[in-house]
Amino acid sequence: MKAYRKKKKYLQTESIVLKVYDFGEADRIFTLLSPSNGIIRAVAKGVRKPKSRMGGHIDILSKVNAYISIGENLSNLSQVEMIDNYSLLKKDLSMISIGFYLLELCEKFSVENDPNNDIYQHLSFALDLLLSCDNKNLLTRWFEINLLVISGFLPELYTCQISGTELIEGDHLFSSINGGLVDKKFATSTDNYILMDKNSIKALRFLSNNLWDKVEKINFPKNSLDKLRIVMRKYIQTITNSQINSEKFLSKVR
Amino acid sequence: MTPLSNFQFMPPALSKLIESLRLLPGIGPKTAQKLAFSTLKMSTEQVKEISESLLDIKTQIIYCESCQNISENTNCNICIDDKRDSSIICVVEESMDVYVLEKSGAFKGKFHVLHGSISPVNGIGPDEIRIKELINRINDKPEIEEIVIATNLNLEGEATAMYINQVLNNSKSKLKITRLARGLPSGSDIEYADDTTILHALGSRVNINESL
Repeated sequence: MKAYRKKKKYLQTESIVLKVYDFGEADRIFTLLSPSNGIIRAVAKGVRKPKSRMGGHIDILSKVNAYISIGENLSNLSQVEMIDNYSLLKKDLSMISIGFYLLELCEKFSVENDPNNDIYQHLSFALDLLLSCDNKNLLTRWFEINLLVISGFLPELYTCQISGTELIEGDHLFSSINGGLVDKKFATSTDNYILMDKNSIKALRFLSNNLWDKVEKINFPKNSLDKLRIVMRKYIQTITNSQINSEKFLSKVR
Repeated sequence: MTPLSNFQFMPPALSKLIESLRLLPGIGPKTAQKLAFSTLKMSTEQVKEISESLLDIKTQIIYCESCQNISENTNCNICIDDKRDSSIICVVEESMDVYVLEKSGAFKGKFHVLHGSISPVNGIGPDEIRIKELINRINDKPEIEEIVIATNLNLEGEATAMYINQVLNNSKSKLKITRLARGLPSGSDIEYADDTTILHALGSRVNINESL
């Protein structure tokens, strides 16, 4: 009698390597972000050995064309072609630290087997831009805010999250738990608010509504961008319910 | 496959051993079962020797005060060896790397083990590995002239090397900081080499008379 063998599924996809960790004696598990399948976790056998043919073609923070054999528990990386190694970016520690941060954010906002071309294109665009962009702080803020837009987590910026009334121009409070701005009149003493001045609120609204080609032409005040960094860190931590590990390293090498 | 240890007929002691062996890296359920059943066939003395060796590495092995490598004494054999060159320190990620470099016989200086590399995505920053100990060691010993950074050749290893370079350049300007050369491994075909390796191999090419 002919033995029954389950047919293997293969997948070929462009992807960006988000995370890597060692597995077994000489293997590595790669977390890839693909436009067609979202997050894919795949093991690359023997990739840590110097003579591995795959080792030089794949590393964290690189864009690859991956050939994956889909497994029941863990998929296998059978072949990899490097598309972009971002080698110039990898020569600068501050750019590496920003790169790590962008990768971690994308991992937090993506799920396995859920196609999300928008997140992939957003990351790919930001990584391509990172080297040539003069204002990396602005690019990072724009990336964070638009990642929230794509994922459907953009905080409410026009109406008070407690009273539901429209906010008038001026300073307001940002509440991560309530998911947006709160009028100072309605603030409760228990919530952990961040005071946002008028300019920071304007900057946040502008960044959330515009593409990079418009954003890069605006000269945002440094203190507004610093305020947005604090607001975004707190808000992202609240909605993902976890720490952004690479943020600490980013602050250290900045 | 359902591991045998899940079956009710298995004696609890054997089942416990299988589960304990599975904690080791690279040991899956089938290997753990094989090892556990092999242990049953061994003599009591042999099993006792294995269990005592396992306990010894936890009770007798400590970290060398100077290089942070594993040792049975406060200072390891490499650090107390006067014949070794104290002016050059090779920085590696893991203790295992020390033994690989020692086996080659090519390095006669001293070592420093970081016990990891900077991996911000996995929550490992410079404070989680032994970079501070390296900086203190360099500041305390003026005879140190060169630091060879031999971290792994992946992005985490590169980030670690860059971070150490940045910190050392700020603290001790006269120090020579070098990195292991990158290129094609011995016995490999150029046909299968990737772009990054070719780029580094060409960049680090040497005069043929020097390499022979």
